[in-house]
Amino acid sequence: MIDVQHIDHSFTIGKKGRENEVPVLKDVSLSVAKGEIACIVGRSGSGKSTLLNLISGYISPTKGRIVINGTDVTGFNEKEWAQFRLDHFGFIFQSFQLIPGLTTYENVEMPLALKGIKPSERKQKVQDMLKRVGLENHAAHYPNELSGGQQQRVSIARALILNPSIILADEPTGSLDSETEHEVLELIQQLNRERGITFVIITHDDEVASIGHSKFQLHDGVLKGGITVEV
Amino acid sequence: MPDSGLLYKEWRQNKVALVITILVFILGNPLSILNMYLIYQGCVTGKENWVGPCVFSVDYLNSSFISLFWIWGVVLAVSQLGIERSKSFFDFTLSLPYTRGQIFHAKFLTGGMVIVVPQLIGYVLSVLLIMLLKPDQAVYFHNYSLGMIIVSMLAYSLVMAGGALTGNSFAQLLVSFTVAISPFLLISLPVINLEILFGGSIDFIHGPVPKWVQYFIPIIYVDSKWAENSPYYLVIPAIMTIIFYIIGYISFVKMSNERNGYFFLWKPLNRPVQIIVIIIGIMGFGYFGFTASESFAGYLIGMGTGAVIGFLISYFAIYKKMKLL
Repeated sequence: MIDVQHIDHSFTIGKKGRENEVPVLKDVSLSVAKGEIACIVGRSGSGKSTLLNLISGYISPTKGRIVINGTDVTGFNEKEWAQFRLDHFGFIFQSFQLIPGLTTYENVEMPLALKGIKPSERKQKVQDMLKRVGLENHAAHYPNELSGGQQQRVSIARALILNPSIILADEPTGSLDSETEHEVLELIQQLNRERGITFVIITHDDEVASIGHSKFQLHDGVLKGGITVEV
Repeated sequence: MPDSGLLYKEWRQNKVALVITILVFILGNPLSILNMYLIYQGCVTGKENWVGPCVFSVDYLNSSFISLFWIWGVVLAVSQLGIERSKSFFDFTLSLPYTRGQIFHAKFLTGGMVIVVPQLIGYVLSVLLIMLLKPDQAVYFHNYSLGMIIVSMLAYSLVMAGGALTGNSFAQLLVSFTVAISPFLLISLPVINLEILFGGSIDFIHGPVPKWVQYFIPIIYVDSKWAENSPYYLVIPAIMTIIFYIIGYISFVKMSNERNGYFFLWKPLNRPVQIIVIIIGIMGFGYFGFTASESFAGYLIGMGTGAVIGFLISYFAIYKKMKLL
């Protein structure tokens, strides 16, 4: 499903003619199977967010190849990535990234509206999704009227509403207390089991990493080994 | 043409700022005329309290409400870029299935339409009001009403470009303001300092500068005097609007926008800008010290103070990462 092959990524710093390459990722290879929860673990600065940005197509690798759902995306231009993201990805962010002026319902509805789906069809889909994440009674609430855990559930509902095959989550519980973190992780596991969605989760938290079917440890841009565990 | 979904998102996301701006732009101009009419009526009904004859004059050079319309261009640009970045939902926008170019175009088109269309509606309403109320004179009405559309677009595209270059609202406003006064900072201030150092008068700055040159200083449009000149001068802010739009577009597409909060998105700008800020601090405070004390010692003390202040401002503004809200 996601096949990262011998990826190098570096940033260039310094004046023209005297540039220095600062390597961020060095020969990283990993494979994530369909329906798997894969956790990429590492300290701040280890390169895990860069790896996620490479898989999301925000940046291109200096070297190596990325194949997602059988498509080699390495040479994609921005337009091709935009279409690919629409068809395959959903995103969950640490800071939820809900639009403040929109209600829970409207935030979840947004991707459907952007895709041009009719309002009548949107209504049913949003209601079903809110019910699934346990927020059917909070549809009219604005983000500032919700707890952190509820906001992250809205964010998950928004990521799932277009039925993506892969969810990319950047520190999804980083802004939550431990009790709420547990709730959100349970929801991710349930959705993974029910819908077979592949989750790629970036985290520095061992508890989050413990829900992964596979765990990849990044240290200073080098993959220290992938472990596949039975969950 | 940007995707309609993106336009919808821009509208929903900035609804409050957009609706207020639309209302101000539609109603501002007619209300200005109504206000002038009511003042005139006050004169007619209470003539004994007024000095001089009662004249119903629609005078846009004196206290017209629309002279502040450019501020709304600034408000919109900060709402659409700086606040979106500061509130941390920029990553979501970029995760949407659109190219950066499409996202910037959608933002600019939304802001541009909200600036142009309601002002045109307000202008038409004002023309109808003038036809109805028949003032004795209308001073610079057409020139000012239509010119202000260009001026507010200039303010908008300048601050949008500032927002596309910087990582938070404060940096966006500071960079935009600096660019707005940059001809003064980069030309006049060094010349004034050269005059202090070497004595005499440099003709270039005191000599007859062509009138059109001043229209390249964006801050000049804050003062309504531009309306007194030929409307052809408005070609200059129109061209500057296009230039700032291109700068904003290229910056938005090329620079890393994610997870920011830094002053400049393109870090190689940090050092040269810091040096420029320190130099401007030295020259500005040096000039101030010289004029305050009328002595060379005052000039040197001012320069020293300016160097310290310039360093501190640039260090804390540029190098200390802002905490995202």
